[in-house]
Amino acid sequence: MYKFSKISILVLYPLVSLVLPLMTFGVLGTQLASGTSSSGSVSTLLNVNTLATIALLVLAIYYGYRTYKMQLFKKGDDGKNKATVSDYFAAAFTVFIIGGVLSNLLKLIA
Amino acid sequence: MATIFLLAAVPVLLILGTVVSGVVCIYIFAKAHGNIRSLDKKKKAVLIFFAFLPFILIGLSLTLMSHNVNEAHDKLSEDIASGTLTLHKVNESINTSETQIITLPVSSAIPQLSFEIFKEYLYVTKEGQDIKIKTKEFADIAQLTKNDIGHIGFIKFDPSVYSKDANELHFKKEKIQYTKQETAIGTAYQSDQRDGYDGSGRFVYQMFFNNVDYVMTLSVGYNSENDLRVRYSPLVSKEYANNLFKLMTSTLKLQVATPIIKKTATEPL
Repeated sequence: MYKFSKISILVLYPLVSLVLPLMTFGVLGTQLASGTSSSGSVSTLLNVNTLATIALLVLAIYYGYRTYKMQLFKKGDDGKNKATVSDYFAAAFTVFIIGGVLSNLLKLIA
Repeated sequence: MATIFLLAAVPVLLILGTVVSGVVCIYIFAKAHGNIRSLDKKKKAVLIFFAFLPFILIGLSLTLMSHNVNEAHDKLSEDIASGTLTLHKVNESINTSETQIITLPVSSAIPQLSFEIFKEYLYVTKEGQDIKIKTKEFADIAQLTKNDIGHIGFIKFDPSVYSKDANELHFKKEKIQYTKQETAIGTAYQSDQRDGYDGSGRFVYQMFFNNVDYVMTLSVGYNSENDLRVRYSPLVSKEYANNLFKLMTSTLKLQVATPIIKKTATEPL
């Protein structure tokens, strides 16, 4: 489950933060240029984005918790930690995910 | 063209540069397992370079933007000084005692409207449901494509999407100063909406009619000599625009047209 969450974060986060918004804008732009209006495809993309964001948040919280429990980033006697390159990227994405969700919540409250 | 291309490309380069720098820094840091001291000199140099690269790019883009705006201002001043660009200023010593009453054509969906303008200096043109207030000084100048300093329009809106409450929320969110007045005919808002240029903006009067899904908008714009858009519109001082706005809003005569119901002989009385 730990490896699954790590790989999911590494794959899903770039998709949700880069590919899906680009696809949504691309679909909107195509509709504007062609003069057609179909809210179905855009709303589907937005629904997918929302579900993926929720899934990412759950995976990020789980990954963060397991990483903390395993003390992956704690430095050993040689001054080095046990984290690999993928762990570092997954941890960075986890921070971005949780930070993004919290900032959106603050905006909603404000 | 080169300037426009640079202005468009700089934000993209900035984002790409920041993402690439972030990826490289995380990769090098991860390869060292968090112990930067164990890195060789070459990798340390690469790490430091990519860590500072986003700040360098931000600094470069801000400098470029500031330089371009200053260049545009200097060019505008040079053109005004050399006479290449004629800066028109609306004459503030006009005779405001002579006014003319303008009446909108009656429609069962749009309320009747009449108001007064400065007869000597202004005139109106009707474009569909829009009335545009124009200055007579520029009426014959073909080079000026926009010689209006304000407009009155009737805009149909979807009540489920837009409403006076949504409008008020927008004012509060954008911190726009406004006044609200409930009248027998509907709810009126007056606001001073500043725009991006210092000393430029517009006075806006909006009337949300009761039981009619139209909003009437009266807008009188003003701008300063720092406004780069004065190339394309007459320079109107804030004081003049305010006087014009006050005159027009004080002399608005609004009536809601009563729909005529036709009765036939077969209808029960």
